[in-house]
Amino acid sequence: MWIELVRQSRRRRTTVGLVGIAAVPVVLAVAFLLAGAGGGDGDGRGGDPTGLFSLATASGLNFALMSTAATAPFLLLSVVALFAGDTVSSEASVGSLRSLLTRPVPRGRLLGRKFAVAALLSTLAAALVPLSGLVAGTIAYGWGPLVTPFGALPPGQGALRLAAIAAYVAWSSSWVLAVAFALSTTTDTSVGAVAGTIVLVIIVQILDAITVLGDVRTFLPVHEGLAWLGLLAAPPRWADLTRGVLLQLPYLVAGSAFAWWWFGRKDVLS
Amino acid sequence: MTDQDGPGPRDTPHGVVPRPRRRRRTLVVVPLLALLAYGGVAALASVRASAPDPTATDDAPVVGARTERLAVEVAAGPEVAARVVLDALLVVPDGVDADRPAPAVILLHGFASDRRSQDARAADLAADGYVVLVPSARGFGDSGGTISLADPDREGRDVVALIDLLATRSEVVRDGPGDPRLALIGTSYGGGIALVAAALDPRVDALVAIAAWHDLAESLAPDGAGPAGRGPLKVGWTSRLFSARTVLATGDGLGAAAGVAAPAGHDPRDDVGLARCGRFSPEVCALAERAAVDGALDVEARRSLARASISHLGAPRAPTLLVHGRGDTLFPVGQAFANARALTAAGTPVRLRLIAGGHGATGPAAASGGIAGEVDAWLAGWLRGDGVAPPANSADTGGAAAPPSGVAVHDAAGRAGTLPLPPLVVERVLAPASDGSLGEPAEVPGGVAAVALVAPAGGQPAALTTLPGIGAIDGLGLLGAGDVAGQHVAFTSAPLEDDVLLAGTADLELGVAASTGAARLFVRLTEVDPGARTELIAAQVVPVDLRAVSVDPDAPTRVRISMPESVHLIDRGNRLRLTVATTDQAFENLRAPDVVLVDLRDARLTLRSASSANDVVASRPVLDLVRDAPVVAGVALAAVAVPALVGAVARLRGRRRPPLAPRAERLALAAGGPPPVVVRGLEKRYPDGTRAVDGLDLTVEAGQVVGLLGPNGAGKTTTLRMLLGLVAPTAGTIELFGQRVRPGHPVLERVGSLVEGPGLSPDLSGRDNLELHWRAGGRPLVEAELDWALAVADLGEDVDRPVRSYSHGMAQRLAIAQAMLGRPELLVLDEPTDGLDPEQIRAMRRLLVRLGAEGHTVLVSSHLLAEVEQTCTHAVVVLGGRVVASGPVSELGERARTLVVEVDDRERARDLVVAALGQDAVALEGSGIIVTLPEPERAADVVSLLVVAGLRVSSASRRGRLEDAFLQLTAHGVGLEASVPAADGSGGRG
Repeated sequence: MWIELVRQSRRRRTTVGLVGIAAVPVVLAVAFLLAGAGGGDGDGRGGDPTGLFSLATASGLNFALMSTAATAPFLLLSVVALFAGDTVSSEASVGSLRSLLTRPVPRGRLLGRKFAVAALLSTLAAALVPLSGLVAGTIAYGWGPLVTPFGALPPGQGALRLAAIAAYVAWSSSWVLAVAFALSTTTDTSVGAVAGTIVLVIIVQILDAITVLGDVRTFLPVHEGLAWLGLLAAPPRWADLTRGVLLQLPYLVAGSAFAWWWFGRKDVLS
Repeated sequence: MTDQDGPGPRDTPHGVVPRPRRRRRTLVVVPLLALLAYGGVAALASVRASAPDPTATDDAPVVGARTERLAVEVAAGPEVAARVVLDALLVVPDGVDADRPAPAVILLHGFASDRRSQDARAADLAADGYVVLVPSARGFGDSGGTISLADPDREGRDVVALIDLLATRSEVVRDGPGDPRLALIGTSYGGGIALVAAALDPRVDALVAIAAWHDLAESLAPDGAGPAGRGPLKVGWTSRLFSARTVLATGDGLGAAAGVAAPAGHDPRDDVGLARCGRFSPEVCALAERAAVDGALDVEARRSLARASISHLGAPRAPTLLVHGRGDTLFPVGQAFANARALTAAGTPVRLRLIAGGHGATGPAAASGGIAGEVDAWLAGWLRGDGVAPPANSADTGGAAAPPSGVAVHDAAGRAGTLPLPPLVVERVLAPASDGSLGEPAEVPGGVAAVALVAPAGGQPAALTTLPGIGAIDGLGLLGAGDVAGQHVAFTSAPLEDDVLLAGTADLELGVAASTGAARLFVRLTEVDPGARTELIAAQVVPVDLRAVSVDPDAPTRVRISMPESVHLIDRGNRLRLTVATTDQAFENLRAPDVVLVDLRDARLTLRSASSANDVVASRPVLDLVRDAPVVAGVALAAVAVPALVGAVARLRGRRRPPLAPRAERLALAAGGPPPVVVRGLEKRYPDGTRAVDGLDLTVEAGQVVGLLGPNGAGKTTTLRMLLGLVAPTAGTIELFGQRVRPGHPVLERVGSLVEGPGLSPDLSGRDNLELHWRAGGRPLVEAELDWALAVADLGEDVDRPVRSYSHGMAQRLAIAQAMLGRPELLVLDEPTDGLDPEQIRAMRRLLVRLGAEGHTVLVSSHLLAEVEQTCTHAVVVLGGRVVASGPVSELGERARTLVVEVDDRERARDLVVAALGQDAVALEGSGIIVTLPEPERAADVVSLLVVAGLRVSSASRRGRLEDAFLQLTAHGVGLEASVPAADGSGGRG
């Protein structure tokens, strides 16, 4: 797995993906400073449903939280789609997959390594956003309590909550990981797997926004995408969080199961 | 909100809840102010005496909701048959009906007010989708009955009856039969009733108590040194509360008092009782009168008042939001802390939001509109949240998460935090000294250690510190405000070096002696800024009633004074001042003149503060097994999952394999063992029906260098892919070194391969490609013989450049080197010379020959005949997925029976040969003839025959079976590049 990690980490798309997503909070910080934005009271007006954007300048923790909230719905999912969708298909497209498969390593184990590395890189991407946001926000706005629409949390506890939120956001992207990974095993063009996953993400989000679909929506993997807001309450509201965590499992299992089944019997012709 | 414009309903486990309309709430602390204004015009305007009239239309319609005036009949008291009728207004939002019920809220108004004071709040709550029930408390507004000061058996039971009423309404969501989902919101008097009612009725699901008391007796007659409720009466407040009887009198009474003609049938004698007690119950009236006379509460009064407390009734379990003014002079902020403590002890989720102002304060209370959002969030979190709420999705709710438990702290500097309940604090001990300083105990100067204070006769003049309705009067600049000379002593600290957040109680210990044996002291803490402006901390003056102190100035009685909780931030640079006085306007003062000696030896002021203003810690017990069940489950899961995951990762790293044996040993073993390659009946059909390999048999013995020869599309590459486990055969078997091969089979360790061009990672350098390729097999790099392989690649410095910069030839050489890593026993090379220049092709051939000579087995595919002829010991010709010819190259290529002769006249030559050898022996080809010899030795005869006949022979050469096979393929029209003299393909072969 270490070898796979080295292989992936030296690839340009890995560097670009990680640096790119880590740069987003810095860009946001610059934009906030230029615009003189923030300083609101978190009441959720004007396209800021969570109220976190207007609170972003309250402290470094708040800025990190805002960065996480800003990247979670789409950018992070895209990066995860890149890391997972590219992992097998790109090797197939340059032909290194067949070299790899001629090593005395069962395909399932090889796929396991690739999956683990894709998951690791995705987790890293999810962690980089709050970390980078924390650094940029602390430089710009200082270290202080995490102010939420419901009150304020002392810095130590706020940091813990932020970490938990980042973990939830990362986990919430696992369905994308699984879907992109499954697609990746079926195609020799990495663009197909990555773009296909992103299109799927958009479709799912559109479906989730159509309220007349009723209960069907509650089974969409993005439906509990904002449940991490419950972690800002004290005590945390576990109901939606638990549901959000469990909601990922069927997609994760189905996606990976398909990937293994397909890859195990696939003729490598590239 | 109509069905059309509102979002559709949503199923929940408990029924159908209409989504709250998202809108900006405009509520200010109207109910709170309504109480504050009780002595004013607002209360007068609400005076009613008539029984509620269901047909009355004086209620303003509520936009987006329908209202219903209700007359609720309740028992007048315990074990009493008499009934009391309460006036109440039910507000049902449009779109809420039996099919789409909503949670309910009961709004309870403050003292000397009625339900109309709640109209604005009710409209807001209805707009948020709640069914709102607003009653007038008994004795207020149009409700009947008399005021019993939140007596659980009267006012408390009234609310239970209202909940019963809601249980019958189909518009209200039910949690169970007879159990409506509802919240109580009460302000001041209503807050006290709400706490009492929630303690009585477990059906209450959430509770908001604004400016409510914990213990009425303690609030009205506090004592810093004795039991609650036994101190001097807050005469100002008490008299104002009970003097409200005039404005609370019935309309008739008031009318009579104002000289308006009484209606017919009115008995003027009733006015006597009315004028004396107003709408107070006789018990409360008597209590108030006794207290006013005594300047204190008697035992019966204390007992009676204590009944309306959750410490008497048991704390409610409904999640409770307490909102309290830090500067409340009627119900000190410590009352809210006491409620919060009692609720926390019962395990009830509590949040205490402290705001500026409070009873008796002006201005700031009205500005603290922030509590509206807090109240809304609390309702949303506990009435719509927790499993029944729409998920915390921005489109659905405003984030219906219950706010955190604890004390919400918002200071003037905009800092915010949540303090734990009870607060985690550090103690600071300060020593008041006779020089007026308040410093570290170790630094107390020597000298006089006592101060004598005058207690004036009749208790006047008295210090003016707080006023009911105004609050702390510091900084108001009122003439005559402040302390009276000789009647107080003050101790002031040095400017504070850091912000100090006072959180919790403070204690003062000092010695007291008085010549009468009784003393009354008033203690307060003040923040003093550099401009000498003062702020009375928590607006609290703590009275201390000392009934038995020493009369001997040399042996004073040591007393310990507890000051109630406060949450107050003292900015750095400001000073803290402790004042001890003998009089205070707001309280009943002693009448007897006296001189009180305050002894300062070992006097100590103990403050409790958060260790720093930022260091506000969370409020949760370490672990609550029930509430934290998900956490516990998560930890347990992690305890199982993490080792499993670590194990899985360890497996992914690959099992450790025994080290590779020396090369010679391995080769010897291979030579003595089963053949490196045995293929039987191999078939591959693709789903589209293409038959790439069709019954192919192949055996490669150890040490052979076998050329797999065939045109493009003959099935060579597919065969090699199947050999390596890349492609699954449709039928047939493949054995490598005697083992049936599967994808990733360990036997592949003995195979090095290059299939269909270099498969390299373009982002990695050449060296990294080789290293990682080898290590992916789970073997240490030292076994790879990397330097040897790199020498094969012959890339020089370029080996450290990324592969994407390589030419095709360079990549090909690197791929060959990759196949040779570890010097495997079997090499499978597909078109290895593709892209190489002639010099490199020659080196490649030499290498393969040498490997073969050393005992390696090589299977090399090519469409170039010459390559196979020059490199291989054996050749296998494949066409259409089948082997068409195979054998040793020497045998296949031996000068066999075919002779190609180029002559100037090929027709004549043909005739001559036909005459000599027969019709079938000869054919025309190109510029010559092809002769099939009966025996190889006859070639010379044929040539001499032609020469003797006078033909000019320009060349004569033999051709092996290999070439024959190739030419047959050519004849089939397959584009094969044979390194034989060009054939026109029109020869008479078939």
